[in-house]
Amino acid sequence: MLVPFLIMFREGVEAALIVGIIASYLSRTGRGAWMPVVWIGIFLALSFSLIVGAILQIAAVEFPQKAQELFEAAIGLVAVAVLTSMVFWMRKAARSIKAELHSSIDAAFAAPSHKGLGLIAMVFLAVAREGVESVFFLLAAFQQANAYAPLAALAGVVLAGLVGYGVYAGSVRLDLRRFFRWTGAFILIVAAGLLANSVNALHEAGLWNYGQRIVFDISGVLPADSPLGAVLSGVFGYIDAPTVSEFVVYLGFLLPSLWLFLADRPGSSAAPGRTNERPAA
Amino acid sequence: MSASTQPRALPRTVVRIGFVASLLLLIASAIAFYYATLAAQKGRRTTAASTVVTITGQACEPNELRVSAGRNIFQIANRSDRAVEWEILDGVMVLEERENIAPGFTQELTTRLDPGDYAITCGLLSNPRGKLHVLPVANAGPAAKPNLTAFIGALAEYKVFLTTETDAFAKAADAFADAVKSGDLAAAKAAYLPAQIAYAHIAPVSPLFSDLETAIDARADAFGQREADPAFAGLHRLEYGLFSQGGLQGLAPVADKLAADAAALKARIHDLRIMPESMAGGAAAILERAAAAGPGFGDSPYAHADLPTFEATIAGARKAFDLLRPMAIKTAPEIVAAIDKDFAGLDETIATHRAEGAEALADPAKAELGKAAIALATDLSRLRDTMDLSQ
Repeated sequence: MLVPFLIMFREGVEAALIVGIIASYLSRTGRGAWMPVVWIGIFLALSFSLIVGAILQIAAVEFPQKAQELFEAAIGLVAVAVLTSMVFWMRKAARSIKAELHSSIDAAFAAPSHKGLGLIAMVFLAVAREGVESVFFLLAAFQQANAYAPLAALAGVVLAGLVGYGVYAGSVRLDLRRFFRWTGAFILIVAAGLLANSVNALHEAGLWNYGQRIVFDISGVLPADSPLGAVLSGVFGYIDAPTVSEFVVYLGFLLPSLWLFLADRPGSSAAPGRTNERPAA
Repeated sequence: MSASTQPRALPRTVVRIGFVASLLLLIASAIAFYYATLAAQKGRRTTAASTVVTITGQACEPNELRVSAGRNIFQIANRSDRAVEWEILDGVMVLEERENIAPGFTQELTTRLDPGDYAITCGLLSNPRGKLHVLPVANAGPAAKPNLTAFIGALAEYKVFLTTETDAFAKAADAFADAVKSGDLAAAKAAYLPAQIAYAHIAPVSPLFSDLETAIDARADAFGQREADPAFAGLHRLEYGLFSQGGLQGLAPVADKLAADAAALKARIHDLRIMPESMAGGAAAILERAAAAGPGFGDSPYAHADLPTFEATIAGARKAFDLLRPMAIKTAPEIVAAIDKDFAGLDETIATHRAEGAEALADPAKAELGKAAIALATDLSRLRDTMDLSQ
């Protein structure tokens, strides 16, 4: 029972996490009014997944795993780009505000609304990315002899949704300074995991076949389908036996981006005259 | 939510309507999915023969599978206590996979496989990989038969080739007619070979326009009174007049007719619907004809440009084969290898004769080239039959 639960939890968290991050970002930038639109994005993505599932079933086609992998890789790469640019944009904006005086920083963000719409599109893609695969997993679960498997799988989805909401609710409570600094670092780690998993998906789609030697295999110690492994792989993209290309891409992204983000130097992106404000954290 | 102010007033009613509409859409698609599932369940249960693979904690059972090429259905049963993914690997490349098979679950994977030896993953990374032997189907059953859609690219490219060559032929025929009518015997003689060569390139599809083929390329043997027959016309009539009789008298109308036929051929090729069968089968037929011993060899009985016309016929056949090759190599790799060898042998012989500098060939040389061309034609026919191109 545990494994169907964990599989759906992991797939669900991958989507819910991105949605939670985007929702908290929208809310912290004074766009709380967008929240219903976030829900619209989620509903549309779920409808999309169900309709694709219905069409494939009527056409008597089984789940196209390779196409799904390509879909997953493409959206994963888009998500990495969106999340990374969001982090660096937040960092730049955070330098130019007096965080303590504002509970909300709407005035500081004069971003055009197409940015908001782009983030809603990202919500749709993030949910659709896992949605189609999850629909088929649930379907398989319902077709098994064991009656508890589908219930456990559904419980996994629900818990994943709660985690996504928790990310949103938790980061909304942080004070702005910490929000920018620590969620930024957290998002970069998430993005690195997404990137490594996109490389893995590209391999499974049959497109990327270089650097497939296994660097280390700790699937005996911390398997990805154990409870902790599922949490780690859902949130941070943990892979229990990474290949050379996944490993290189992960570190190659994470180390420079974290360094750029945390290095507290008056970068060219900082607003001049405000750089003497050192973040509190 | 937490925002105390709304910097950008989203049109509230629009958002509300969108929210409700998307929620309704979600409910509707859930219902659609439910009914699609019921319908699919009824339709199933007629599952064709499938191969069952059980994944245990240590390995696949059986750990070595043998299936026939073509469509295969695998039932993957996970009897281990871990979630597994099952992959068919060609080297490091993932050919097919099924992910997230939870313990106790059985999932299906349907795929088309080409003959060859593959590896299959069996749960844990440390478990030995299984082997999957995909055997070629005997007697070229339907499984090995390439789908017609696989040929779309090749057919389109061949059509372009034919169009280009027909244009060249029409131009050469025009130039030929001009030279004949202007009374310039030397120029007319020089114009003959380019026209003959361009025509030889498209010869594999000539059965598809047999009336024009007769008008353009018929030989004297096909007429009751041979060369003296008044119906004898086309390229070889001109060739006969120019090279055997050494004059231009009576050739002007023949040359005009040839130019008109060439123009008609252009239009005909434009509308032509080619099938893979005519590419392989036509190439074989035209090679057999070019290989015929005697004065007809290489389609140049009077000008004795045996070598260039023979070479042009080979080039036309090779173009058709090269385009079919990517599909052919999957179905019949050994025939493709044989054909490659035939072409290489012909190239070598032609190069040797070219080095000798003579366009006209002596009978033993013709016999040798003819034999090689027949061998090539036989292999091409074999390919056509094995690939079962007549679909």
